Amino acid sequence: MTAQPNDSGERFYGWYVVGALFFAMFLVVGTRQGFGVFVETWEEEWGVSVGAISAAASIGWLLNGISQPFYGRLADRIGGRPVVLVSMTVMGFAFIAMAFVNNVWMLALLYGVIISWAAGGISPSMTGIFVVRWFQRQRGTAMSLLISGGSVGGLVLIPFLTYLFLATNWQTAWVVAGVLTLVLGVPLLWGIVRSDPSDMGLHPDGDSDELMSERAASGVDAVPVGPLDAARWQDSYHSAPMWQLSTAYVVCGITTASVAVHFVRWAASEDISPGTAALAFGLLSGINAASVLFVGAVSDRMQRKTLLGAMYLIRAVAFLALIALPGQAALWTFAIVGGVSWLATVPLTTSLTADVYGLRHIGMLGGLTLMVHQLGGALAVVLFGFAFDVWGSYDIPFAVGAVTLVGAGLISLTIRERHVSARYAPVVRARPDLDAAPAGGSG
Amino acid sequence: MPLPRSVLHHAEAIDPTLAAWIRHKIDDILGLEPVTIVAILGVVILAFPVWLGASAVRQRRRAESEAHSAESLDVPQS
Repeated sequence: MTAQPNDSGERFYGWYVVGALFFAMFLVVGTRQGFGVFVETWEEEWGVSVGAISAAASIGWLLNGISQPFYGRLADRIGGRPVVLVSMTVMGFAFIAMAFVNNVWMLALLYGVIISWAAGGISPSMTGIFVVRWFQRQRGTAMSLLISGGSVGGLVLIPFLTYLFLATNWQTAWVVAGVLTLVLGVPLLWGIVRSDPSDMGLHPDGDSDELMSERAASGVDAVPVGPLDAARWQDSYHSAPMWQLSTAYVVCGITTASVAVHFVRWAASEDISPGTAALAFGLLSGINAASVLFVGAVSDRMQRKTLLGAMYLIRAVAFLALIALPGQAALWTFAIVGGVSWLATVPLTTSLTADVYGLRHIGMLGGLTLMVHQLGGALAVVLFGFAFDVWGSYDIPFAVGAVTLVGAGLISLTIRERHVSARYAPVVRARPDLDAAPAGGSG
Repeated sequence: MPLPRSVLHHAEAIDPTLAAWIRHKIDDILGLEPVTIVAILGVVILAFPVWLGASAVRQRRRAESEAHSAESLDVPQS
């Protein structure tokens, strides 16, 4: 099913909203990833270790995760638009302020605290709130387009910042990143993005007033309510899907963060050069960008839990390859097989959460799932390092990763999507004009 | 703790090794001055928001104009 263009053949306005948020993700993710470009220079200029700079980045990782429920709750209460606008503005000024950093403490405060906390307002879960409100039938496609903004941002902005740094200095690179954010990103969000299609007199997917009236007449909510919609967000945790999605997402965090941090070290332990490992990273990233778009679009045509389970199982195969295959073969198998599943879990998890629980608390629920993803990842980074120090090998942590991924895959596959998703089980409410009984809750 | 190395999963900092590799590859393939590459990428970065903003404004104006026309037709003739 696809959204039909309106009578005048115009593009549904929701795609402009996705476009503006895509660009916000492009700027924020791309610039934050560019942090790595300046590490060696800071090391030399400030006379500090990579470990000290890493600590600032690690603080940011944790704070960014913890900020998610805060922003989600805020967006549920006041709408997503003010949240992304303020976050983007703070990011812009903070990027410019990065040019004035001259020691690792300032770096920890500005990057680790202010930028990382503000970036929580432009996270996949926060920007996803807009997508699930503007789209129902094409939710997966729109989500995957949005998420790909971060990947494209990395591909374009990292070289841009690198060459700007080479042509000028690192301070100029950060000032330019801030100016781009304030001059392009903020006005685009301000001018285009609206929290909900009703703010513009529109309906999700660009559906016509007539279609919405027909739905209302048949008793189906014009804007579908999640079959497990709950009055309080805490009540969502009284049902299985929230635990299934969250548990699997923790595994996602564990297995992506650990590999992201330890991959080069693992490669070195297998006598693979850093350059070859970096090339494998590049391949994985390219496959990942294509995969997320494909999976998102396909998920609008089949049960999302099937794809979600498949993504975890595919990643389990990639982890097993790291243990079972010799160095080079393991590297390339992991890059190809792992790349298929790397980011694809994000649009699937967000879309499925909205399908099941509706939009009332989607900010809080999405924020909580992303928070556990980040915290699980942070813990795994430490434990994988500890395991390597003890055993001198990553075989055991990778085996644990594979087992947890198989578990996440099976847990995802057991979600009873046909019974709990608004796509398959639309909530039919009693109509007050036909039935004197009060309309029942959908929980 | 080692520096978080990104494989483009969310927004963590890129691995400096990967950043250096990307730069060397671009140098090998294009062989352009840094300023030239900055200019090319700058145009790419500017093009999307300018196009998107212009398209959205154009569509909104057209919709407002159509709504205005429809209102005019609804006004009863005196």
